[in-house]
Amino acid sequence: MMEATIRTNQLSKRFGRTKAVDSVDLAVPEGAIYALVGANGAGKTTLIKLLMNILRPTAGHSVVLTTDSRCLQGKAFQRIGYVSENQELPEGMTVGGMLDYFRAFYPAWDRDLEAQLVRQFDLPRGRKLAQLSRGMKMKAAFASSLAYRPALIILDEPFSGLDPLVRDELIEVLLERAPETTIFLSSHDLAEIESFSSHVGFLDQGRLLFSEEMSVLSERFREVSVTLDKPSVLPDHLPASWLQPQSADCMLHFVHNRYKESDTAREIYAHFPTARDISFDAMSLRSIFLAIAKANRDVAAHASSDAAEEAHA
Amino acid sequence: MKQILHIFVKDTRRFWPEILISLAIVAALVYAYPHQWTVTVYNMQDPSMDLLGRFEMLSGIFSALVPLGWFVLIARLIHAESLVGDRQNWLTRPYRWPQLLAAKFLFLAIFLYVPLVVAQSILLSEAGIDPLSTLPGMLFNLLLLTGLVVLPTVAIATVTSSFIRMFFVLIAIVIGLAVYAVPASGVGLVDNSVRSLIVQLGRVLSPSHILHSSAQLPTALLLGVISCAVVVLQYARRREWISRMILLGVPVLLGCINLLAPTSALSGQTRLNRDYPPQAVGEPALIDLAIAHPPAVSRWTAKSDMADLFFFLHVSGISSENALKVDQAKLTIQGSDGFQWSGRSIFFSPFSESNRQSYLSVDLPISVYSRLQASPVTLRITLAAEQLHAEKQTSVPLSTQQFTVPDYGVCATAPQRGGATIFSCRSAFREPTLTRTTIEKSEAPCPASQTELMYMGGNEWSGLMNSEPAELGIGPIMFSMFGFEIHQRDMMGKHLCTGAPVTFTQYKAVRHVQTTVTIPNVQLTALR
Repeated sequence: MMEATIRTNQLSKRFGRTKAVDSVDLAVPEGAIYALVGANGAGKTTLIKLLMNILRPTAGHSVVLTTDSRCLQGKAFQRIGYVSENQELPEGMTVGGMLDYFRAFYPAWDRDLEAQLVRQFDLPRGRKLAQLSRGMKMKAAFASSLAYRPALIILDEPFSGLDPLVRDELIEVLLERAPETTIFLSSHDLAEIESFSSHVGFLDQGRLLFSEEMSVLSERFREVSVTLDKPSVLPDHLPASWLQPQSADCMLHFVHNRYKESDTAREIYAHFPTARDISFDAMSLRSIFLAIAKANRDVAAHASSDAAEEAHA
Repeated sequence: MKQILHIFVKDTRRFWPEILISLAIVAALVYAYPHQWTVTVYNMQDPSMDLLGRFEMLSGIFSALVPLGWFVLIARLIHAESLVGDRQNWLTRPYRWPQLLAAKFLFLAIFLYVPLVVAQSILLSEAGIDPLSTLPGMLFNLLLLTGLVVLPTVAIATVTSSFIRMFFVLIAIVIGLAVYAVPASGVGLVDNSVRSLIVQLGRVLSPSHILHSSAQLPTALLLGVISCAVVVLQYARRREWISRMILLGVPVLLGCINLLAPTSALSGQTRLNRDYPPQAVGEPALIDLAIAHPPAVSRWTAKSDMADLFFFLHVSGISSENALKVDQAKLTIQGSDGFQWSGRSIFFSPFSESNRQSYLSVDLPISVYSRLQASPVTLRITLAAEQLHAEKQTSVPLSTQQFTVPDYGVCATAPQRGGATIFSCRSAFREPTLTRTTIEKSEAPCPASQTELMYMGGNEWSGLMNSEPAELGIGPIMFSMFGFEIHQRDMMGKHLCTGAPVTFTQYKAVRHVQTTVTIPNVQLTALR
């Protein structure tokens, strides 16, 4: 079994009454490209800041590269590269000045790799960071965080607001580094994540709804379409693994989150004996993400209306 | 060490404009400051007086700008690796906080302390004082500056995220100090000029006005320790809210110490009796006071409902090696019908064997005056005083040229309006110990080789009682003046010649004491 590069245990963070991160248990295996996905405000950035010891957890703890994240400082950061979309770079410095300055902090800094990254990103060494576009700043941040070949790269929404060309450049460089490192990134740009991530975790309102290998997730989720002999009303109690069931005339649609071809078909026939035709379609990460998000919202809405009814009664 | 130097070099490269501005202010101070003693003519009608006034004001402005330059430098330096917020790039870089903190203090040592020490050494040399001989005072002054100015500024920088926010904190502190200091000072616009207001505010907000010299060291130590704790807490843990609460607690703590101090709970008279124990029964009188004749010339108080009593006192009963420095004086007037009225007054100079004449001035409500004027009254003058004893004597020949008095300072004549001459002296980091200056007058006319000084005025007492080696300040030179209280009749047939020995006697406080002198049968109408 591979060693986890990041492991969290009931990690929680509160801001006043708001639970930004709620009892998250997470394991990122060594060598993985782990994508943490979730809607805006789901708690991705907070979770990453907890891992980086920028924020302190309210409860629980996490271990990053064998160090308790609450003790992560100084030398421990020589093995971690961190880039965030809203990070404040030393804007008064030139690109070259920043690289020269940071170089002294990292014994493993690779000057050849630095030169390669500067070339690849077409970075102007003599220009001040304050004068660079957002995309160029992000490239400079990448270069300054990859040149020492970190064992762990943590990226918080690294592609947000960037044009496709810059995104492709960054992803290309990132994938070049992937064989020698573990990458943990957050994003809500699911289409890009899907193309290169090996693992995925889904954070919703601070809670981690799932965390697994991308291949397993893809295998698990199917969009199911059932053709019935005659129009049928949806029964009250359907399996919990059937997300967002909808029926119209003789058609039934839902997303199955525990898909296994033979078992799922049997399950459908058990509930709809008149089923004539069943099709299972693979889903994109985006579709899975939307299905889960909507299902959760429906569950939350039901729960609150039930609570309101109980209170009324 | 490598990381410390690396961060230091980065900061130096980045903040060279701020460094240059700070150095320029220090250089300007070095240029303007010595004019305070090189332009020595004090004649108000002389155009050069205006020049002196300008240089005094410039020195004051540059002395205030130096800490302001430090403020900018410290703010920019600490905020370069801001400890507030969660977006700073440096937070996820391999900085070790002790090294980062050390780099910041190295920067302050080189661009804040070294220029100051160099500037102070230049100014001391310019003033004719050997900087090496003033090392304890210089170090003490640096200690005060560190505890009261530098460390609190660094601490505030560690809990603020930007220069603007820190600037607002500074404004709040200045307003707080003004609210604390102005009411007691009676500052107001004298001549409606901005210059007057600036000068008065500068005086009110001067360190010695805000913080008595005896309180400077304990306050510096307290503030320094608290600031250090905040700085270390911020660099090691970045607990900004705890740190802010600690810093906000400082004025509350100082207020509580002030309120809960043993003396604060006592009423005025009880506190006075504790601080100045009344003289023991049977102990010989420390001083004798009598109304001098002829009484005062007629004076009128500005307030129509008050009568101004003003009278000269003849002082006697003080032995040659002692003196009495009056800190508070209370005059009680008792009428023949037993009616009493009390008021406070001050005596500016300590009483000594040679200081045989003094005066007392009291504003008496006109209704009280009317009631008491008809018949003779009894005056009771209660003095809360420090009994002083002569300690160390130094004699130097009187000169119209600059001369050095050991343990006192460098002195030079300063002509006054009307041709009088006093001596203006410069000392390092603090005024000299309370000193009485006396001179031997010659019965014979001055020989041809010596110059006769026609008239000298001023106070023979100069200096301060405190024992601290320095007072808080940027400029290293303190000014004091002395002269000889020579009355016309003393000078009859006597001559003041250069070369005559001038004796500087330093006094040390022996004890605090309260003594009362009673003067019976005084007719108030004769005193008004």
